[in-house]
Amino acid sequence: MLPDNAGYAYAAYAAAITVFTVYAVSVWWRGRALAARIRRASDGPRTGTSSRAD
Amino acid sequence: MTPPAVTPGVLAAAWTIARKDLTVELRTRAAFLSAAVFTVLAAAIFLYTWDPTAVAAIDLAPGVLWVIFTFSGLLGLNRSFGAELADRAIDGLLIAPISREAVFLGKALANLIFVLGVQVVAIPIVVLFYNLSLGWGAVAAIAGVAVLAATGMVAVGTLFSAMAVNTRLAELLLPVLALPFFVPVVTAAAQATVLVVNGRPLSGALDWIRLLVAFDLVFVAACTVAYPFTIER
Amino acid sequence: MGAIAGTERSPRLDASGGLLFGGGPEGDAARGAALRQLSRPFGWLAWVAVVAFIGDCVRIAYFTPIEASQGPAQKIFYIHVPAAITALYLAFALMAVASVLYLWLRDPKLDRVAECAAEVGLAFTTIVLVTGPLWAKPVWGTWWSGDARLTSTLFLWLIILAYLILRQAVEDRAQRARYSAVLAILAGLLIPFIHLSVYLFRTLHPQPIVLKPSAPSLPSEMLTTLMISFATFVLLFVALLRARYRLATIADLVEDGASSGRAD
Repeated sequence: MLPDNAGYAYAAYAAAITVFTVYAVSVWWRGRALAARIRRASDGPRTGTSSRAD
Repeated sequence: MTPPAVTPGVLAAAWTIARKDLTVELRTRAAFLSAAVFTVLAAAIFLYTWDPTAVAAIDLAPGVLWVIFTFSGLLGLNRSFGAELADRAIDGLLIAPISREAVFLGKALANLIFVLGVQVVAIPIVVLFYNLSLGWGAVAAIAGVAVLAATGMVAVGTLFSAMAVNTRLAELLLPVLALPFFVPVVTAAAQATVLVVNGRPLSGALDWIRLLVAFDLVFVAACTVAYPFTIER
Repeated sequence: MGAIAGTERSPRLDASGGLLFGGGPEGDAARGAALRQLSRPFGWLAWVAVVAFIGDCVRIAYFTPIEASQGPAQKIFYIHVPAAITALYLAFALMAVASVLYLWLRDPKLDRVAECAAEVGLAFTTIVLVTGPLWAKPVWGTWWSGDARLTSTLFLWLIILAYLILRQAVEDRAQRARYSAVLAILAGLLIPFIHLSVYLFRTLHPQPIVLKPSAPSLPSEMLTTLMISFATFVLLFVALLRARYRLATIADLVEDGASSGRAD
């Protein structure tokens, strides 16, 4: 008689997929922010660097 | 004190720095007093969150003792390099004709004496609050464990204190960096203390003692070697 | 946008405007390449890894026998164990080794490798920490059994987190690299001590007897699945590391350009 615990396995696989997805999206997102920063710097106002917050 | 004409040896230089730190501490007593008061307060808080009918004092006291040591140690360590930031005193230390390893060892030595001083306050307080009956042998055994544990904790803590003061988070960062490194030390020391408090000989905790000694050897050496890497300019 | 050459800009504007990529056609080309890479951070390797992961899941679900005593939950084994091994022996080891090499060679690339390995390693240790209790609950009857390896993984996770927090807290790049390298090396020395202390703690405190699921006599079908899973996780690690490393390289270039503009 097999124990009925497939739910735990599904939860574990879902968790693993979630972690990978979240991390991949975070890499993609940071890449987008960086690209935006490069674009902004190149196309932005030509009169000073005050727009940079940091 | 006249400045030495020749470059002092590493240990002599370390001792000079440790003595400087301890002199400053002796004159102000600010850090020691606050650490001692913290110790008493923490012990009192533990006492009033404790249900004596549920947990025996003898089971709880070693854990309380080591939790207090851990956090009072952090209090002292934070100040170690923080004090050198004022008037950029650290630059004076670094341009002194002594090796950087000596600076580290001196700082660590002062911290070790500081932490041991706090432990001298903490052990009687915990013994008193939890009504432990310890013989002289047991006290000596706990003192020995405390010295071994403090050495490793101080080595790591001193290095991280030197790093943390130069970061944006300053003293907030020290616990985050240091506490994971305190885990094996505190585990070993608390477990050895459990044996001693229960009236059993320290020889039963040989594995823990070995772990403490190995930790001390590895991390005193590693942190001394690593310190110069944190201060290149 | 890339057609605007940087030559007519004043030097001050160029520091922020042309950023690091400099003026002229080469600068524009480098800038274009960076933007292209950022728009598609995941290369072909990532898709290979995704396909491998799907195939791995299919194999685990349909072509691997269900373990008789533990039931379907035992299949967590095929992600838990490969994730743990990848996190410790690939991510964390790479972080420590790259840190040692950084202090020796002072190549910023090595610092980036350590940073990226730490981040990807954090993702893998997170998976270990989530799947561990999910496996322990049905099989051992408790979420957190205090198993030596899982507890060590928890501390590994905390150390990697501390490493990343330290990196966030240091502004100067060379200083950040040195500090984090020192922390990573000390962490490498610490892990054996943590494992030993957790292990000793368990052996000295008898706990409810638990079934060790990683039996050495794994049937060959299960062993094959484990190996496939392991290969899949290595692939996922390499793919994520590669994507993260490209991002770090460009981010460092931008930071260099920005700070060189700020300096004078």
